[in-house]
Amino acid sequence: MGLNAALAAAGTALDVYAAGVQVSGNNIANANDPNYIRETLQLAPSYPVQQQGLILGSGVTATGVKQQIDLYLEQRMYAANGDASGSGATNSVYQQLESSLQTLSNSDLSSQLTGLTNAFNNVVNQPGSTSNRQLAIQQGVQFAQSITSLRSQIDSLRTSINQNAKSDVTEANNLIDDIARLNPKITALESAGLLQSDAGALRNQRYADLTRLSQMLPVTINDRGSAGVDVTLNGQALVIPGEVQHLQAVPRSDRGMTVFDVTVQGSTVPITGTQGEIAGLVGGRDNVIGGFLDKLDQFTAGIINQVNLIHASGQGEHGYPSVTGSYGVKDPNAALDAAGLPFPPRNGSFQVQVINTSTGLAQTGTINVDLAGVNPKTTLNDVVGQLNGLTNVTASVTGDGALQIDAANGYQIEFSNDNSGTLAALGINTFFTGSTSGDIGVNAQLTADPTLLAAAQGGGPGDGTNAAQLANLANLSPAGLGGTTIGNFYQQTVTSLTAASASQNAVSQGSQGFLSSLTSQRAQTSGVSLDTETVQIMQYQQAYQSAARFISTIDKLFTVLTQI
Amino acid sequence: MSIGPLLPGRMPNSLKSQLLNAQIQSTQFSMSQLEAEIASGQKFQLPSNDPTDATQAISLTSLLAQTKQFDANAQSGTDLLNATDSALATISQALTTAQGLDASAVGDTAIQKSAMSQQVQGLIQQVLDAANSTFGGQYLFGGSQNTSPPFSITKNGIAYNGDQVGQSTFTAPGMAQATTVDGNTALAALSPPVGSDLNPALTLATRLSDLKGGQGIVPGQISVTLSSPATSQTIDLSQARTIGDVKDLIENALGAANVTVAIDPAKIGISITPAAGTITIANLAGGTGASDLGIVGSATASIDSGDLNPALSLTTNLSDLNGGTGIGATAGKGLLITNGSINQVVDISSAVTVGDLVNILKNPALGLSVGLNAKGNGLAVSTRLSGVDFAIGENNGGQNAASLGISTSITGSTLLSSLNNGQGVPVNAGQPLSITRRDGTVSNIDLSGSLTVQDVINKINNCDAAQVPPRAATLVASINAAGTGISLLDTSGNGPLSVDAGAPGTTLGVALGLAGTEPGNNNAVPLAGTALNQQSAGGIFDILIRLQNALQSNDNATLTRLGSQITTEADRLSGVRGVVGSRIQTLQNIDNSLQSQNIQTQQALSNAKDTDMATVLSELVAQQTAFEATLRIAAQTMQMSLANYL
Repeated sequence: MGLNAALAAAGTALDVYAAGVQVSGNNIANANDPNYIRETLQLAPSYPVQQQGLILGSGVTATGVKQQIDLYLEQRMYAANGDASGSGATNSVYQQLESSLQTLSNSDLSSQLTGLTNAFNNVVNQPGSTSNRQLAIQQGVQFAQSITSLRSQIDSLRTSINQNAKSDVTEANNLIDDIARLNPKITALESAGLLQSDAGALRNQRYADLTRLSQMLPVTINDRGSAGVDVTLNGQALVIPGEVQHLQAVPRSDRGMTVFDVTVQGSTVPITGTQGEIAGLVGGRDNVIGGFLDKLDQFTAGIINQVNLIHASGQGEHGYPSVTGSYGVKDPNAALDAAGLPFPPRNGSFQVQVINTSTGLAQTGTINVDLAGVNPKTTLNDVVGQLNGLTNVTASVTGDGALQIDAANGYQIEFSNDNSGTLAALGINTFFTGSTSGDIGVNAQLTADPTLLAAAQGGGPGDGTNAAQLANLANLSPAGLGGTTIGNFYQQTVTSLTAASASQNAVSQGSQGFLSSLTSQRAQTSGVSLDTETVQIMQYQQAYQSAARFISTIDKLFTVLTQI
Repeated sequence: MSIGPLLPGRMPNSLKSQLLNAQIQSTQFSMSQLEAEIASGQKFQLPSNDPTDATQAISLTSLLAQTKQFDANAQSGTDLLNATDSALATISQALTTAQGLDASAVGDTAIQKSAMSQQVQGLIQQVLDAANSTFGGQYLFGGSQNTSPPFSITKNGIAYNGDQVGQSTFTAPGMAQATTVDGNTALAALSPPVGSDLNPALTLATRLSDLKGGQGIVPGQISVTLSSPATSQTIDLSQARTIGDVKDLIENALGAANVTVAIDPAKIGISITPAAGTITIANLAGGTGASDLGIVGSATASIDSGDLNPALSLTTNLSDLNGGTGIGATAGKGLLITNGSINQVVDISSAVTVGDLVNILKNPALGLSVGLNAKGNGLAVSTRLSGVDFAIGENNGGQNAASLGISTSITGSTLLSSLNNGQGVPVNAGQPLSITRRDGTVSNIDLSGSLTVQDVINKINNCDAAQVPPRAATLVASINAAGTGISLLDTSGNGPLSVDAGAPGTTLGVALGLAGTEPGNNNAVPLAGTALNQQSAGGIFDILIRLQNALQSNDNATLTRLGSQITTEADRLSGVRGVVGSRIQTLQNIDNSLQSQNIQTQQALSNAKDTDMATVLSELVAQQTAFEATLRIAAQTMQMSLANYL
């Protein structure tokens, strides 16, 4: 090997070490980017030459710049991202729901229920006091409002989750597009390289995209080296060579509002499960909030029906000159238990007292509601017919299918002994209106005239027998609550929500912890250590200096040679 | 954020800063949690922070609110009962004064008695004020009619306008304590109700809830087996609400051609008869569906439920009363009601149902309290008026009053001891009944040993024959047409017929309602006796008014009689005060125990929910120290770099 060859080798070494300094410098420059994957310059001895029987090295070459990344760890992180984000999203839904319930304050629903029964207790203590009756009705209004406002808070929570899911879809689609854009670029850049990681910056960007995408969706990522990555979701391709599928938000009606499911375009199967932010949010909305709403509706319907059943058979301080039901039937000629009433009646009867207001004397009439199933079933029109058979009473069906009963001038109507639940079903002489958490309210006739609060069972203004039943409300178990008392039902619902929330929190913390440990491992492998890089630069510097010295030596040799 | 485990290997700067961040965040998070605990005073901000304690706190909070209400209830009840007790004390005092007046009056002169009657008038006013006293705007003794004064003075005695519905208050879930005493319970303002079992007939419209004297039955499942056609079925009667429903469901299940369900001939139950062969009805295992209806039977030709004893209701038809025999003809008949100065024939021919009849009797002009009796099988009719006599008799030879079970008439078998408000008739006082006959002779009839009205009638009718020497029997005693008293017919002459009131100290003639004179000379006109089985309220107003009248009319006999009545009423009234007192005591005990329960609940709630300040503060200090150390170390390690030494 001649001096020239040695000089050439030394020159290459200078280039290589300068590149080395550049790589380390680049690492240092990116040290604060958490997604950055440190790079190292890969060196190899240059191809040896055989010269006069000697095989001599020809210096060093840089084979490439390699990203320091553990691909197996990356795959585990994608899965851990999905778990952590999914459980985190569901956990946050739980916590927001819990905050809406205000369980630990004195204004939550269970306190409102106690407030209502306490107000009824005060009516029992002094039934003759109009202000007690007024307070009880006011408490009823407050109770109904706290249910409807809880419902609307929960609905607005669902709306914000909807918006979240929709913006996640947009973000995911951008990421999908970005990955699809980066794939061919990386392939093109690395076509000459051997390390399959030469296009460091672009790869960094793609890794960041994949990480974010794996947080949102339970994607499967197949890294095919320089050929690109394939992204699939539950077997459906999102990014494969030559094909990109986007996500879409599909509207659906659920529990009184429009919600959005997320599907892959062209598919009808919504993304569900526990992995990924989108599934966590949608699952939180449909299962956690939806499940709670079902319980809330069950609770509301149970209370409405129970209170109305009691109230309908009692009497206020005076009767009704005219009363209109709050629930309408779809067809007045349909059997009452199949006429679309929210609380269908049973077989039985109820009694109507027509009171002469000047003498106070009452005529009692019995209205039979035959729903036993042997004879033709009673319809609303049949009830109207029977009512019209009573003296001084006119009954009719209003345009929206409700029953209207009018007393003749100088007469009033009272109701009693309803063992069929017909009055409660038709909303006649009832306390609450509505049938769900969205529409519960207090009968407008009561708010207008509190003396109509049915505290009595046949007695005078001081008769609190019926109010006593209302005061005992929390200890009753309406059919719809599966044997649980009204007082316990809501507490049990909140308790089970609390327990589920606590366990979801534990799950979320667990998966977050696992993700953290993986993140640490990733940082250990791929993170930039400034000290290491400084050492590296010093090494390259010294090598560079040595190579330069080597050149100067060769230069001296040349000088010697040329001086001959 | 949790801190992951460190694996052996490199320690890049990014990892170092990650770890430091995590440490700082985690310490800051626990510090702010502790701060929130201190600021809010609660151990947790969301129930899920500590589900066990939070759940306990939620149920304790609701228990606390409930206990507080029960406590308020007990206090309000105590207040109401205290007011009642003080009103009753005033009334009781007045009764004691009246007792003194009555005892001293018997020997006094008419003028002295007249002065005393003024005093009694004052007592009446005093008791009326107490009886109409209010608490919190409600009249204490009005029952449920407590928004207007329960007692009022009428031309015809003092009227009770209230009812017998009491108030109560809850002191535990589902446990009510009575907090009022109505005017009748407290002051015996209504006469004891008349009304016997009317035995209403069972009809297809009878509600199952009205069976067994109003106790009702809840129908269940029954098992029915027919021999011909051989079939066995389980029939669910839980949907049934009336006897008609039971009939429909059974006939529908087995085929109306195979079995007939009908009201039995006695109209007290149902009979179930197969068209052919025998029928077996049994309970389902563990159920009592068939026994409740009384229709258990094994392989018999017909099953009869026996007496299902339907209760009387306002919608019961009058024709269904007395086992379906009704109440007899009403046109031109009706009830003869005597209530103080009211003496009225009440026409009930327009009444179809019990409710109609009740409405007719509720006419305010009659001064009656009308309802269904406590057993639910008959009417309950009382006078609302104190100080007057009340009777219900037949009109025009009818039988309506007796058929309605509300007749106060006497019969031959009526015991003498039950007459005159239970005061009886002094037949054994050693004085005979002295009758001045229309022929001017005097018959002295010894009635001693008589037990019943018939005994008296027999002795009077026998007196002529028993005379020595016997004379033609011309004196006929009988129960009068209205059935209320005894009337005498004497055909011995054409002079007046009179019956002596009785020797001083005895009141035999008065007690038999016969004292008086028929002055006419037509011997076909009887001497009509007054009603013997009259009802009266018997309470303090009744006593005071009668006392006042007796004092004014110098009626020593009545004054004597009232003496024992006052003692009885005083005992009864002190009994009522005892009940009120024990209710007050019960409520006070409940109040005390609720208050201590309240404190215990509050303690438990505090344990479950409240921040333990000492622990939390010391934890916070420890966290602060750790945080400071972390920051110091972080600042130092982050500064260290090889570059510093180059």
